[in-house]
Amino acid sequence: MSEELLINKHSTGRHILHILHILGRPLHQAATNWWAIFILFGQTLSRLPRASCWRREEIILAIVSSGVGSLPIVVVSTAFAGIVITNEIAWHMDTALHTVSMIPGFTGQFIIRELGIAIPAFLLASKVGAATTAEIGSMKVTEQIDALRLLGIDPVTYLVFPRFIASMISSACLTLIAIAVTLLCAITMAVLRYHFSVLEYLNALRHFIGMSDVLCALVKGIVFGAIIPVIACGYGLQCEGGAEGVGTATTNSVVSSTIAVIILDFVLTYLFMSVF
Amino acid sequence: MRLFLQKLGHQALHELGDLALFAGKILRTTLSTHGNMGPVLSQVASISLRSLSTVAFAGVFVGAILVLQFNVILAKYDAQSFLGGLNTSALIRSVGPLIISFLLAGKIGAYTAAELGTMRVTEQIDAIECLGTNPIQYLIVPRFMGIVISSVILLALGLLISVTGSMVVANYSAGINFLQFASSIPKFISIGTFLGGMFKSITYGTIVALVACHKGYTASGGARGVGKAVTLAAVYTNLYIVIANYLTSEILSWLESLSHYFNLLAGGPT
Repeated sequence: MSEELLINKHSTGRHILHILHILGRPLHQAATNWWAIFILFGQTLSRLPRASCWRREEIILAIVSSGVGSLPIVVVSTAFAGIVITNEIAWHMDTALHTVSMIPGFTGQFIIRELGIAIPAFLLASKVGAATTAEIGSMKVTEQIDALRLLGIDPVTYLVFPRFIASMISSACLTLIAIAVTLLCAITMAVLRYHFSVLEYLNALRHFIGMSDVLCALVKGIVFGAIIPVIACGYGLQCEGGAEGVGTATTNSVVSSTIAVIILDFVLTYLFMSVF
Repeated sequence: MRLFLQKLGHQALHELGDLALFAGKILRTTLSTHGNMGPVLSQVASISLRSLSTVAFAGVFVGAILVLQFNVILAKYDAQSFLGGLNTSALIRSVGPLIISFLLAGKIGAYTAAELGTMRVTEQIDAIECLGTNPIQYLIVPRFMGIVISSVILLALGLLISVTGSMVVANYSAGINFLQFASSIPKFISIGTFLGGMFKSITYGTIVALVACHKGYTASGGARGVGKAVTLAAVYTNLYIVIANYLTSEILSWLESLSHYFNLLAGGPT
């Protein structure tokens, strides 16, 4: 009360406090959300050594719903991406160097290092992330999570952990599949439109791509697969306020996991670049 | 397998037909009512302000990732002087619009689907209809227009920021200073590149707006239904954007070759 009186006396101070309040509230909200997600990530990791948490049926079900369910959209999208990237790089090479002979090496490297990893990760962030948040959020607002806690079942072990493991496995597989599909479409395009032969293409690729690139792709895929379900579950478990709350939580989850994928992609690219 | 394909084809046709009918409804309502810019402008303001920070943040990192990758690849051909032009051109022509509109699909598309879906399942849209107001005119048209306009604004800003960001990253990690970066840009970029980027932005904005409004408007079934509508909006928007990326780049390259021939015919510089 006395603080309020003090502020009222000096009106500039009140304005500044008001502005700080407006600016600070979303920041505080974001910090709270991210701290909760960080804690959840730690809790999920702490379940790793416990054998009782590895429930096979749950994990297999989650792999089917998140991995196999996203397979069609990943395959279709990356196929189109492979066609587009070949055309774009051919145009650039033609403009800069008046030759298209470098298409195989350039396209192949770009697909294996970046495109074949980033596009499935974005798709997983929106598909798996949104679906998980929607599912867990509607469980939260209909008080099913509270019911689980009352029954003495830990929601992290029961809901988050199987999704975490399943998403890591399916993201690794999807990344490899996506790279294969993108390369296949890029090769098809190069053969049909730019008159390369398949062997020529693969031979050029062999000069630039090694096992370490594929391993980096795999590591990136697993990292993206690990953070997406944790962010999604974190937003779902914090969700409150009926249908509106579920909608807001799902939106926030999609945006946060996309941003997290972009930032981690940058960090991992930088790390791998300095290591290899 | 055949049954699966049949089912998939049936579903896809159903989905696209639904979307086309909805687009027709929006178009008819827009044309038949007098233009009232007030609600549209307020939507543009709220959408752009809400997504600006996210787009700027993502833009910088997308530019940075591209610089890192292109730098490694170009170093193998000893062609690092092309880094600036290649990076800027790739950002404006295809990668920038694609990735920023993935983000907009989540930020704007999912938000709109959640908002409209909540209104649908709490029967607010039915209430509007009962009051004799056309919900498409009152709710959908301003949002549709607002999303299309603001996604063009946001994409333009995002591309600008990401080119600036990639300049800075190139300076620090690739050893290409600002002048070297900028001097190779004119080799790749013309006014046509910007027009192409704008064309792509408008196309992606329309996709985000249409899918989000459709999924939100047709949501049903309580909190679970809203979540499902948001998920579907995010997923279908991304899928359509990737397909539209292919179609628009084919159309643009066709237009480019057309203008090339016209230039040849007119005897001008090619």
